Amino acid sequence: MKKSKLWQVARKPLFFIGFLMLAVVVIAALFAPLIAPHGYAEMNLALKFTAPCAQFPLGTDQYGRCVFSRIVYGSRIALKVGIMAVVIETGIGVTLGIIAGYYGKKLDQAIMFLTDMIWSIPPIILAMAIVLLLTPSAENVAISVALVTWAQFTKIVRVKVQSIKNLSYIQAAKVYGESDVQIILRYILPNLTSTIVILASLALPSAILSTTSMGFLSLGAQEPLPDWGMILSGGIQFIERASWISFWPGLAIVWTVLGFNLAAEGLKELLDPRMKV
Amino acid sequence: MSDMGKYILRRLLTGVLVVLCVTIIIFGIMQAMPGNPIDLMVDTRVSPEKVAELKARWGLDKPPVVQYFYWLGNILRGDFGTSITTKQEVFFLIKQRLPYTLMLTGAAVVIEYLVAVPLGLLAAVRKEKLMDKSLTIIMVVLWSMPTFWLGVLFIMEFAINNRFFPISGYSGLKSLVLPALTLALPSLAQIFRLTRSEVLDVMEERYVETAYAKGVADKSVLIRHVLRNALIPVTVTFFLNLPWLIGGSVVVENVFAWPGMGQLLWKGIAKQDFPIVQGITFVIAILTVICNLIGDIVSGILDPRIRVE
Amino acid sequence: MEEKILQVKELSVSFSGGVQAVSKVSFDLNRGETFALVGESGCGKSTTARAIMRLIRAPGRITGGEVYFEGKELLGLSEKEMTAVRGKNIGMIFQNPLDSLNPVYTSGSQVAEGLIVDKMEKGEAWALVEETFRDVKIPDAEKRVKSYPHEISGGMRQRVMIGMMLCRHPKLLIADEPTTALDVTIQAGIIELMNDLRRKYDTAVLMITHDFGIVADMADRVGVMYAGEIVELGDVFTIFDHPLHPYTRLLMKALPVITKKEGRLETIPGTVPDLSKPIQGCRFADRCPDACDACRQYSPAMVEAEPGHLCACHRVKGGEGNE
Repeated sequence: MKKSKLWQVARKPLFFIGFLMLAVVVIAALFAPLIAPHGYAEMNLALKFTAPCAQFPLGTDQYGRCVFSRIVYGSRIALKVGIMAVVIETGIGVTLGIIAGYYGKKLDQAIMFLTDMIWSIPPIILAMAIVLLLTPSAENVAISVALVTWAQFTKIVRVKVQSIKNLSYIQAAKVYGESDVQIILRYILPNLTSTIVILASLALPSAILSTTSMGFLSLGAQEPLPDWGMILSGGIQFIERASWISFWPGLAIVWTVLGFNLAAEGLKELLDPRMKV
Repeated sequence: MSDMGKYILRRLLTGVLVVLCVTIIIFGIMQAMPGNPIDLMVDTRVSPEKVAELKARWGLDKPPVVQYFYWLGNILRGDFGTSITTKQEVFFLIKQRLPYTLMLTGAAVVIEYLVAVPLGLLAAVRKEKLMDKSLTIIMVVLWSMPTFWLGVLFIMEFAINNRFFPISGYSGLKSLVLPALTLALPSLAQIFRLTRSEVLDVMEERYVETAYAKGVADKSVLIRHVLRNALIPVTVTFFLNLPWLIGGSVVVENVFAWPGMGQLLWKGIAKQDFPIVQGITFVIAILTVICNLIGDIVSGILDPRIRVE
Repeated sequence: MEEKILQVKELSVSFSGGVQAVSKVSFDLNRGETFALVGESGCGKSTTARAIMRLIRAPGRITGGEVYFEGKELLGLSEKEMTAVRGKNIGMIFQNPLDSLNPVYTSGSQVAEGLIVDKMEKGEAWALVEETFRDVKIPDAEKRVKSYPHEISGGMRQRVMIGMMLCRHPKLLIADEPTTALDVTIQAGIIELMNDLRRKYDTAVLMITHDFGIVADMADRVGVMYAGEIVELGDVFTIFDHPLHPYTRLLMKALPVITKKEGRLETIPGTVPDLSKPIQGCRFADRCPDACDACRQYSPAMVEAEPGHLCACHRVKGGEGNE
């Protein structure tokens, strides 16, 4: 039963393409030193703005660094920051969602007010303010993006918990005197697994978009680290001379995000096709 | 109509509450920043007495809670302080740039809604057909695009290869086209998907069958009954998502060197110009709350059930 | 005036997965007559009604048969021609008045919409809407036309629906379980209203119901449906007096326990056969107390047991009356 469903999903070409696209990114990240012809910080001012050629497949930037190598190494930053952001936002969002859904009443109202509040501030701007507070770095971008996006988890998890908590075996567990924490860990959390997996997989592409946007605003990993967003923004002023500096890192972002989006759709189809996000 | 009036009033009060809370958050972040605005604002040669006087004016010698009210009071009077880097009034700087930001986001909003909703309807009507499938794929790709890259593509194609539009800055309405499209296209996908799924849901409703049974023609049923109802959740979500669009404008303004607040904000952040950052964040928060309020009012108009609640 | 207004001939409808929801259903309606299609939920009676209106949605589709309305075949009409028939010539009301009105328009404007489809002037239409509201006995008619559906009760909403469908004086009204979702106390009022109006306008009614009480109150003739087929057909007195088909008898015995809520009648043991597979023999054989070997082998043909009384059962012999 499970297997045939997996087969059905795997057969849909879009999901398959998504997974293939992701495989490319993951391989690039894992084997970056083997794939990249140059180091990401290797400068050669004599060769600046070299158009794509055999030596520099995607050309060089204003410091004569190999754009291809920087993009390959950059996949590590993009994946690391994106995944970190999603892990943090899942942690915060799910915890608050469970608390709001399970305990209800005042606590629920307070948490819901907080989520409404977060919703009504433009996320990028709030994230910018938080990064500024924490000082710009890859890790801080992950934290700040997580701090402004957890609310979507809270809303959905809360509703789900509200419906789960009245199931008879959970009520029975209560009567047997199991503590709230035991009930949550033993009965409620397992029921949430597929919801959380779907939400997290859908959040990952958005997180990569947000974190690379922060990179674009120079708030992420700092030079000479090869943040995709930052490479792109660095190239814009030279766009008429050397459009490749901005073009290729952008394509890398679209490639990765699209791969994650397609894969996430596939995962959702597999686990819970009717879920509304 | 009095129902509607009460509804708007209730929403307005919530909006004010949200603005208050947002200012508290901004103020909190500001307080947590290393150093204090006055020390950053004045240079070391200014006498300690002068510094103390400035601090008193801004209430910085008082406890944080009191300081907050000083700050809020100043902001409400239009006193946003002066920029650390340019020494200009922040209020003046914002006033100069706000129209450009409104122009950009306004155009993007209109494009987004007017393109996404009809396409969503079209995809729903042609469900599972080629049109639906290709639209869905296009939308996933757009959804996966960072605005800044889309902007770069547009510049490369329509400003450098073909000189249809100016590369950057503002020189008349023609300059608006590329930035507005850049801002609108990636966020189109969400509204498109929602419209599609809502239309499909509403088509299952009994009152749609009633309309057909009445002998209303297919097109009228689709517009008057199906779309009209599907638009309620679509519009609510559309307005709820506006903060994302406003946030996105910061990035797009930087790609196109658009003379709006976003660019100013970014420069302010890069140079640690706190008064500018605070001022702009505050204005954007107000804008967001206004958008949400308009969203509430519009959904109240669209859905007679909301007004009573 | 014994003129046929509706003739349904061997109508078949199937859904996805090869489910044969309606198979070769035939019956007809005389002018001004009320015909009731009775059966458990899922027997295909609502699907039959929708098929006549051509309101079957994909993946369901009409696979065969003919429907004549005043001698005109409906299934072959273009979608545009059919649109002109709906509402104007054949009206239809549905089971649940709570969701059959569009929540975003006032109840009056939804009644007016149909009149405007008939090219009536707006002012004239609204005047007629108010009159219609009085006709269906909605108190404060001039105020209620401006009420939204959520502001009025379920019973009132069903009155609005009846008004909406009768104000254009269609010659046929299809009523799909019009009282099922309503409180018992309100049901009687709706039935009375429908009876009054159909006499007043001489409208033929095709009544879809599972409730023999309503059949007794309204119908002139009855068709009993089981698993997508009509198993017994006759005038209401004959059917009540001496039902021939075992299913009809069991269904009538179940009468007192029929609740106001739609639901399977638990009183007849066994379940409806799986309609996605071909069925050998009589479809009711598995649940039938009188089933014999022949019942499991061959499917029974419809025979005329007495003039105007048809039944499809191996135990019933043509022309011999009972047993």
